[in-house]
Amino acid sequence: MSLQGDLYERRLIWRHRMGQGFEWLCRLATIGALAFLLILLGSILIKAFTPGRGKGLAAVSMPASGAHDVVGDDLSYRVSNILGGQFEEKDRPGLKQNRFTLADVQQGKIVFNHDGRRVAPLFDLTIDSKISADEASKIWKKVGPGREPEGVVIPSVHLPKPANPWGWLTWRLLTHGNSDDPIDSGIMPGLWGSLWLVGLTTLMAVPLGVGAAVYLEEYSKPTLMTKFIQLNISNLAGVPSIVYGILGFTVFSRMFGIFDKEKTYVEIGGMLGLETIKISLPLGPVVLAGACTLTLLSLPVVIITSQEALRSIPASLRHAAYALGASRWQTIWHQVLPAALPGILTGVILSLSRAIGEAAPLAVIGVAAQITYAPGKITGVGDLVQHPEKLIKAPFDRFTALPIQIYSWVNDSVPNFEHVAAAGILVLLITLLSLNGAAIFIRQRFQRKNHW
Amino acid sequence: MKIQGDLKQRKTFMALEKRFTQFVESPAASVTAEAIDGTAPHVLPKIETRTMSFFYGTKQALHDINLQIQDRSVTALIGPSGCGKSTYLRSLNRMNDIIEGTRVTGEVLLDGEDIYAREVDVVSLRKRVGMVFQKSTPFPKSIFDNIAFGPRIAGLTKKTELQNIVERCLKQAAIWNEVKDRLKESAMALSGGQQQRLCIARALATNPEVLLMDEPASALDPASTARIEDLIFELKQNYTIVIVTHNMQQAARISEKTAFFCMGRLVEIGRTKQIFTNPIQKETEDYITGRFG
Repeated sequence: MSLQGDLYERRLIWRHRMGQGFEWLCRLATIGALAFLLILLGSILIKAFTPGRGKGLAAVSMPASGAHDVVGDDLSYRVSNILGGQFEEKDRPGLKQNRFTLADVQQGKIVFNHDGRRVAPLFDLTIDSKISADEASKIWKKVGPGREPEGVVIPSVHLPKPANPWGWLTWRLLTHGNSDDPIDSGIMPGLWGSLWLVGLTTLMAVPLGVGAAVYLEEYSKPTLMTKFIQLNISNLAGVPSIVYGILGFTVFSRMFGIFDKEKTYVEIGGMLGLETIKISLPLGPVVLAGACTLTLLSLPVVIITSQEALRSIPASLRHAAYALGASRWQTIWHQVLPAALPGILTGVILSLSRAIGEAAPLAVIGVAAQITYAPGKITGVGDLVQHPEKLIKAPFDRFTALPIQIYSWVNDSVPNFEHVAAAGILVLLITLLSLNGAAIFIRQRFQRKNHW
Repeated sequence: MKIQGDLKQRKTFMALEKRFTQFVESPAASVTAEAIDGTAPHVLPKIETRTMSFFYGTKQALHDINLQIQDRSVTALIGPSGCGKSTYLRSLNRMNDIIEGTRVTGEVLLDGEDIYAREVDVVSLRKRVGMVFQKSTPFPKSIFDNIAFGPRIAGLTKKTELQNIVERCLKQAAIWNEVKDRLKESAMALSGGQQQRLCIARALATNPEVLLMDEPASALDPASTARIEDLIFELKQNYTIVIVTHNMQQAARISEKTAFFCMGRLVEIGRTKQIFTNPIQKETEDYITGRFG
């Protein structure tokens, strides 16, 4: 095919059309991904801000209008197959009533006890007395509020007050511990546990990861040994997190069973005027064990992304530093690392975001879902000032984490806990976004300083 | 002016005239002819390589280079691409050590001492022998931090001393007036020519004795090139300068001595004027007249 002529022209038109189609495909892919995200976020938001199903007694009444032809003095109703609660007499609560009369309803003697499992109750209604001379008792199946068959007056069951009319993401949620009642439940222990966890994980993972990356990139020669190490690190990045949980359980939580024979204690502290603290070994499901496990989890990602960031620094920068009489560590510390910091921070953000949402390894370690206090039992800044040794005790205290609490709420059969779980998910997302935002802010500061 | 007076006065005047003519004609005003040729017996060459060969792994890049570079002069290294001039330049401050698998045989002497000896500290060698690269590579920091980097890592931390050094170097590099009120701004915001002068200033900050320049003006426009050449002319009063260049007119303008490299061998070395008007080797003549390279 020559490059001129009719064939070329036709092909050219086809090429342009394919270009437009390609662009549209990519656009659709973006829209699809965005739609999924919006649907997910929307469903969580809706769940977290709908009032939830109320519980308790609600009145039964007769609607104002409606004609009925009653033969006889009174209508009597019979209910069966009730879903969502039971009819009760106001004076004798707790006793199920399946028959009542029109007069009972009109006088307010009958109430409905919603159990909170459904938004609205559903029941089969039979009218016993004759409505007209020719008709036998009629059954209206599956009647509930809003489902009224024509021509007959059905008692109206009112809905109970909603459980949480202002939405479930409240200050109460953030400051209280767990409880049986969804309205009283709070996420404070999980929030503080996760914050402690993320803090300790960052403190441990970043120096280890960045240090390893610097060694592998700047110092080591490409021998068989380093290639082997590199391969293993890449593989470890893809290992499922539950495996890290099992590892963490054996090494950090149970400590290989070395201390099984008798209880061993380690005393730490005693410096800066603080009292010594006795830590019992093995550690058990404490913050430090969780943090060590999550460090192992995030280490491969941190190492790989830091290596990529260091590799992206051009060799000319290093050569310029060497030519000025800088030693190797000076070049790395003063020039290479500051220039690679944005990339390194991106890797840190990525791995920490993963770590904060991990429930499986923490569950394997044995972290409980029902803890009512923050790690170290710290209740506020004032408490911390009075008892500074609580800060040292905290890493060795039992804890719970946001994903674990959310998981336990999702599984809870008590009604309305799914709303609390949705609110908990929002708290988790907001925490994640703030941590990411803080890291991005630090990265921006460094990018400005380094004017790359 | 009437040349009269006694014989002694006339002789003095003639000698002065001869010196003046030499001064005007030769590009180097501060170095005598004997010093350039290296024939003055008591002058130790600043840098000397004796039968120096260089290997990239098994491939030999330089063959038995014997070259002397005198103090406070400008020596130009010219030659076609790939002839080893940059390799030679980089081995003068051991920058080739960074590359894996390189090997140097023979001697490379700085002030009479072998820089490849075992006990030599490479870091302090590079402080004495500075380098300016072809593509300007300012650090992604402020102008002040760029210049102050060398002294800082050598241990100088006093703020006033650093400020003095920065001012001195920027003035020496003829860029002080352009940047004196934006020292804290990023060095990456400067133009190409300014960046290269900044790199020269940065190299001067460690108070080196030798400046190695690898085609410093090749990426710049003629106006910036001219400024850098003026700069080199100023600097040679205090520093020994070795410059690799593709531009023969540039070599003719600024250097006293020129060495012609070809395929890893030193073909000819001599006074610049002589090399460019009356080369001895045929290869040199071919290169200069543009028949190859």
